Amino acid sequence: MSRLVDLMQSSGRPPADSDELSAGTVENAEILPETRLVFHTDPRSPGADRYRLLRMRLRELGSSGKLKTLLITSPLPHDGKSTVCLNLATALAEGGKKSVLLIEADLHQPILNARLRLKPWAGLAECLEGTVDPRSVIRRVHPLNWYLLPAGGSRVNASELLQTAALAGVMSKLTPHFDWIIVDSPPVLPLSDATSLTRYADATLLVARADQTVREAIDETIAIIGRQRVIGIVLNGVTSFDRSYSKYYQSYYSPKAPRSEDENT
Amino acid sequence: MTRVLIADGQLSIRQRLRQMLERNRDVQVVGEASDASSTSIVTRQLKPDILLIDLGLCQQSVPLDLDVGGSAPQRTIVMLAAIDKRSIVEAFRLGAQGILPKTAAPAMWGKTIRRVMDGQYCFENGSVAVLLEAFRASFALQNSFAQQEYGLTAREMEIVAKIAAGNSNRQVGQQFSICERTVKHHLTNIFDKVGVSSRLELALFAVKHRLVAAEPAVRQPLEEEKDFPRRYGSGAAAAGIF
Repeated sequence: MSRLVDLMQSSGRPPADSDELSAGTVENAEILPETRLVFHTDPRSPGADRYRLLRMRLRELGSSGKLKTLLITSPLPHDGKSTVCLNLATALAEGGKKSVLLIEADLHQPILNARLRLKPWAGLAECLEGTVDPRSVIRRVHPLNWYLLPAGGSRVNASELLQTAALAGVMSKLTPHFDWIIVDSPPVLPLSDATSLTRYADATLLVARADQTVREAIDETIAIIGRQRVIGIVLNGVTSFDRSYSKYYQSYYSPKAPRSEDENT
Repeated sequence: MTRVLIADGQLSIRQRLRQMLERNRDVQVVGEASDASSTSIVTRQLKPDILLIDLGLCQQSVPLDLDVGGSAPQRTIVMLAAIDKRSIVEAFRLGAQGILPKTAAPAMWGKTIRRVMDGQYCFENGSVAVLLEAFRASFALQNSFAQQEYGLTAREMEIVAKIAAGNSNRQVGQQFSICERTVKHHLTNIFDKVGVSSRLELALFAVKHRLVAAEPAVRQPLEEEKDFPRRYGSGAAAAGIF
């Protein structure tokens, strides 16, 4: 209703560049090594190649019309969900050939803006509260060539917000505009949020960390989400692959390329 | 018990209203004010739930932040001497959550107070139509600015609205009874005029520049949520990455 009042109060040419009306604005991200965006910083590394393989598998499902919205989650915190989301979004965007939206649905601990060195702006929380149009808060992230809907301002009722039916409205408004939508979800075991989010995704990809995530936690997570919704597991933090094949990768791609110690998937 | 403050310049009106309101068991008139400054002072002192105020006083009290933007703790019902378009729009613009003519039937006062206390907006029937007309006129005014600035035709504006809503070329063609090729032709012209290169950019541009109305997501009924397409779950698992 206050929006109606705003519109009625405006008597001249409508403002175009207020914070609220920031649709399509380009944000320049700063990609530092600690961002762990290997697909961008070290595209010839084994880690980046694993994302290419993942992209290939997802494309097969996408091209058959079976997959567009992908939820990324993990059993517990700190398994590398956001790292996978950032890399996968960059891989799927194919340098801008495909339209990709990354939705930060972890309203409890949003980190994407900070990791990309972007100043915060209104996002999913505000959309779920019904105060903004989701299309008006999406911004394109340069040079990664995908769009970001950040978590927005911190909320004490984050879980309740994600359980409202407004989420369906947000997703239905955004889905037609993109080739791929990646949803960065909170972990499954400590919170109920991911379970609410799975109903709006076509499939779920689990992230587990090598030598850290225990088998029981993965089994329990799959049982909670439902096996039919989970299309795969990304094992994060694997180092043995680097050691075995690093020489091959370096010589194949570029004889002078320095060896990458980045996170593998 | 709802605590009401009456603000009106005429003593006879205040007395009549007090008598009428006090017939409602759940309403208590906690005070009266006869001008803008005393309204402000008494409102701050008594902290009523409802401020029942004459439009003339409300206009004078605006600098005192009666309820513009919903910042004041009390809710405001504006009383109008005459029900005309200008007064209704002005009352709403000033933050009224209820609008009543001073000649309203006794039952209407209690009903309006209860509804406003429940967090609803309560306007006399004719007022709703007037407000919607004003809103439509306001939106049309903005659209015409956008049309002029970017040189878009009426048909192009319609197509922009459909694209921003997520429709495909085929769907747009079907809705306007034109062939898909014509839609593509329109889109090429629109892209040139507004300086975008994709449908996604056009959709975002349209929201940003108010070529279409921004629409916050509304809370839909749970039945609709259950029907949200989940077409791909089992199929994706069948072709799984395990």
